[in-house]
Amino acid sequence: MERGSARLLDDWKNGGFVLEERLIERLLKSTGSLVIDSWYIKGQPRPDWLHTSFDVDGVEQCGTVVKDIAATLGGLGLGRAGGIRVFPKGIPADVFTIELQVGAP
Amino acid sequence: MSPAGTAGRVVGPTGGHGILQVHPTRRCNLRCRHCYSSSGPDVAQSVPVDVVRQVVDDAAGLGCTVLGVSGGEPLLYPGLGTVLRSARGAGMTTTVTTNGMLLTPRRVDELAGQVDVLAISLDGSPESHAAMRGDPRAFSRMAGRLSYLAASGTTFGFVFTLTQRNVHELDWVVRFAREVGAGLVQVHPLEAEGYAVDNLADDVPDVVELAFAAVEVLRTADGGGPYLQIDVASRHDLLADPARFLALEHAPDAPLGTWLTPLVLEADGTVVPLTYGFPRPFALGSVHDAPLRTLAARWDPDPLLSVARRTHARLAGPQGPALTNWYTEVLATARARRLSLTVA
Repeated sequence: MERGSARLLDDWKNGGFVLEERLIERLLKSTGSLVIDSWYIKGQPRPDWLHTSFDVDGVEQCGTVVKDIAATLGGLGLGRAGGIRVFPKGIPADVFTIELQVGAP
Repeated sequence: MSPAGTAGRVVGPTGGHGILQVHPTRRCNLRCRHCYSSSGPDVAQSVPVDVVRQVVDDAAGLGCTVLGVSGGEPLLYPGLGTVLRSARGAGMTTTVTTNGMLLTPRRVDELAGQVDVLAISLDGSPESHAAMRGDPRAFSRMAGRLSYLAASGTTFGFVFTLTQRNVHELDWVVRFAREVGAGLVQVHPLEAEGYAVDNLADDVPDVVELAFAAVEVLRTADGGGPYLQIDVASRHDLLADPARFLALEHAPDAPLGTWLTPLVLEADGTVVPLTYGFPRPFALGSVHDAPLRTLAARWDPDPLLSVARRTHARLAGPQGPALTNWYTEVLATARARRLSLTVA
């Protein structure tokens, strides 16, 4: 049988659901105690593109955060470009910058 | 002092309230496919009202501040009013969870002033609700009771059981709640207990469905009332505030209800920690054998705390899920622990 989330994604697409800044902000906060470096949201009249970056400490936290974000946002099915990129800092890397993009710029 | 400080002294994410959850009867006018207590019209098991009253008094003495009555269908329990009055007299906040079909104006009037929050089960659209309840009238009968209930001034809300298949109906539930003046929608993940073991074994929501439910709660909450609550713990909570889940700081002589919650009275008289159906080796005992205050004084918490620590270590590890139902996970650990002890 079909997942409820698959039906939900169809409902969102058909209903014109797009990103809301407050929603994404709360999602990121719920993911962990992250220091957000920057973020940009575009879209009129309602935002439908998000780009943000933040730093996490260590490989373990990096993997966990990416996994959490992917689980929470990866299936939103907005049907446009989006993804997560990770940039290691330091030798050996002890801080990672994570860039998250949802929607198409 | 624990690394997390003194903020959390309660096992379980219950917001710091000491909760006594009472299932006084398993008799019910419905036989729902997901019923964790395997209740139904032909199930007569119940706890005498005098015994329940004593349990409530003892629980208040142990520091419990909230009484939650569930079932079975609580409106079929003849002593419901007596139990609620006892709890209110002891200074407790009261909640009753019902399928709502029997909320006649007379019953609403009787409950007025005795119930702080009336929680009504609602499993999605009318068709989905009726299918889960096994009764085509389940939604229409319940919905027909709501106008009088709303006019009575009693605060009420809905409890939505989240499955692997129904997160897309949460939006409908929230809109319906808004329409009828409900103050709360509580999203509770399905537990593989009772009838659900046979009927809905593959329908316990996984982390993906929990995540989508969290998104829906955040999204729909932006539309203004009702208050939305989802019964899941995030990985962030587990990592940031372990004491909240592990009771790391409770003093040896602290009253049980101040650090262990909920305490659950089942319809066979057994008091278990945390959640209905908890394995009997971890139970406080039966109130048919001794009063709750005596059971609490005799009870050894170490096996349960060990289970809580194992659960936390598993969930907070590198492979832990982003969102989880804490009580279900503790229950799973306890059952595995009991099994390993039995095999050994």
